[in-house]
Amino acid sequence: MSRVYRWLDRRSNESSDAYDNRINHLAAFHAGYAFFARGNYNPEISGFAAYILWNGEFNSKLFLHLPDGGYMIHCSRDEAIRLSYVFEGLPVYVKIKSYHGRLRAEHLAVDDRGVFYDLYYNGCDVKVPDDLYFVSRRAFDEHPENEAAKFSPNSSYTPGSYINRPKKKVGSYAGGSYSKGSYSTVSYNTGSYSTGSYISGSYMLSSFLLSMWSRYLSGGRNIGSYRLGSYISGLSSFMSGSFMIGSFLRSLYKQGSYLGGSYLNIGSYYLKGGSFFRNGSFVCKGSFFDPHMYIEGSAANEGNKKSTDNNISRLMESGIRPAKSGLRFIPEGKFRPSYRCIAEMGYGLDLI
Amino acid sequence: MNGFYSLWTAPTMLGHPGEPYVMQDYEILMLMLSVSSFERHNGPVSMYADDAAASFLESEKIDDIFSHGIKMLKVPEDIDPKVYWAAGKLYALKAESLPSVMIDTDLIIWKDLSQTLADTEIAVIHREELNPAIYPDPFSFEMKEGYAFPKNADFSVKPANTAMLYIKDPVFRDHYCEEALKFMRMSMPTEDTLNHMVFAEQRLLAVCAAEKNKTIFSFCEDPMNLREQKTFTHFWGHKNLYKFNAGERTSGCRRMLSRLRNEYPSMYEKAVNIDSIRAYL
Repeated sequence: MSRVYRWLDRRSNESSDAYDNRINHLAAFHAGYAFFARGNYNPEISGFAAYILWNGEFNSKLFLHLPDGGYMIHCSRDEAIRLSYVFEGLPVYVKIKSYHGRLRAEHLAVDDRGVFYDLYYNGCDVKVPDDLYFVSRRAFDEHPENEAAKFSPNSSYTPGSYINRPKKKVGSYAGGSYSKGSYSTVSYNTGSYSTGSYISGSYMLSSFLLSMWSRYLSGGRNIGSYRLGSYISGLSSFMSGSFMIGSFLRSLYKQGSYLGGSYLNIGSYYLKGGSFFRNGSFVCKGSFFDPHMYIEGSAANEGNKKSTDNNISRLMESGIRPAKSGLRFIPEGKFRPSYRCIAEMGYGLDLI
Repeated sequence: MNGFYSLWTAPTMLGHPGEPYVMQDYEILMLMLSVSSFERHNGPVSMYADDAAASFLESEKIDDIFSHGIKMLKVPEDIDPKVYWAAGKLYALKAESLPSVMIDTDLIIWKDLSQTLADTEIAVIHREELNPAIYPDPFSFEMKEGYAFPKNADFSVKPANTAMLYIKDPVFRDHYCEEALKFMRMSMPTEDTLNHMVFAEQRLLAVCAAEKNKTIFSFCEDPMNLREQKTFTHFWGHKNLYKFNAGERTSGCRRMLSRLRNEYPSMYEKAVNIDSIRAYL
């Protein structure tokens, strides 16, 4: 069994009130990744539905397990296009609350290199991103140049589970410091995404990628090989022009069971947000450390001007929401909801 | 007109084995508002609850909000709670003295229904579309040997949503419950958690009614008008919003509390004595 979030467990000598108090004073922490596929953007409401890959261990500790669909952020079209390029997924931070020892996720935010988007649950449909996204997530974490995310199988964890064993500053990051409820650890998440490997060939080469994006839209799925350079280029022969090469990618995933099998899909399909949980999606199948962690002395960190001001913990504690906007569950205008849509969202709610 | 609710905890407890049953704060408020409104406009209600649910209601000191008290709900162990999560409703319906209105705990009835129901044999809020994703071909269900659908079953009739169900005739009630429970017992083990349940509960109701030449009255003839009607509030999938969206939950709970405070002060007093709800004050 994984142990990254063991500090969320109630200690043997801890009273219910003390546990609630400890948990309720925790800062927000990283608990999953959000994947954005371009087809999930709804320009009518400026809503971008996200597919969330929760850490199974974290989710299993919640009283109400979080679904992987039904979440949305609000952003402009330009932002949506930018987010669509982040195939590795963006970290999701969760502020949890405890009541009588039962954990509940209170506030969620997606962190795009220091810009935080509120992540709302509104039961929206989400097109599950295809395997390329998950391959990118894994490939990024395993990239040999990514010092903060060295992959090292460890038999003491769940067999085959996907564990990053960062070399630098891992001890203070990996759980223990959070369990003390200390806010001094907030620096871990700042600026770390600006490491060279994270943006290699993507943001920097926007013009190049724009041309690739058009190829991507037209059916070619080999963009990943460009983004991740040589690391994944070996896949290109498998991936060229195909929509997905399921069996190969499946085997790739199975090596680490990062996605626990249940996340693997050939192509894409729609998940009715919140209407059900896909079996096993929140079962403890694997763990990960945040590869986007602070690395002392990194040139990228020094260059990150936002690192202090946009700290996720402070933002979420103080309630500042950079991407705040109103929710409209059933958009008006041209869109006419089906009977089922009306019913599933409840009716007569205005009568209360 | 009497009403009744049911709380069968086995489906909920599948995900939390060994833990005591708890209702979420918003679920408690929905129930309190529903009970208050029904008793004001229609009549006394009772609650069919299993042991765990009864213990919870007692622990939160809301076991006395039901004028006709709490009645013991027993669901046999051969009913799979994962597949037939609403089976408790049928056992409650079977045990209730008719005529009576079966009400979901997340449904609020804001108006007097007695005049409408006086000349009605069976009443529901609305009928359901025969969407094959939700109501597949009945013959696609894997059943144990010896099972047979009701005689002369007409599967072309639209299923009836049972968030609220009124049945006047106990003989028809017995027939419907028997058919629904027979289906639950005779179906092969399955992982499906929707199609089997809605078939047994909602489609068989319509099929049985057609078989017995009974008319089902719908308060809302066109389901597309559900948003415009002013008689019912059904939270349905909106509960998921409360479950996973803290902002919505907070505003929803505050609205319900405000309604209780303004219109049902005695119920409000009970609500604010519950720890989890006090947080919204």
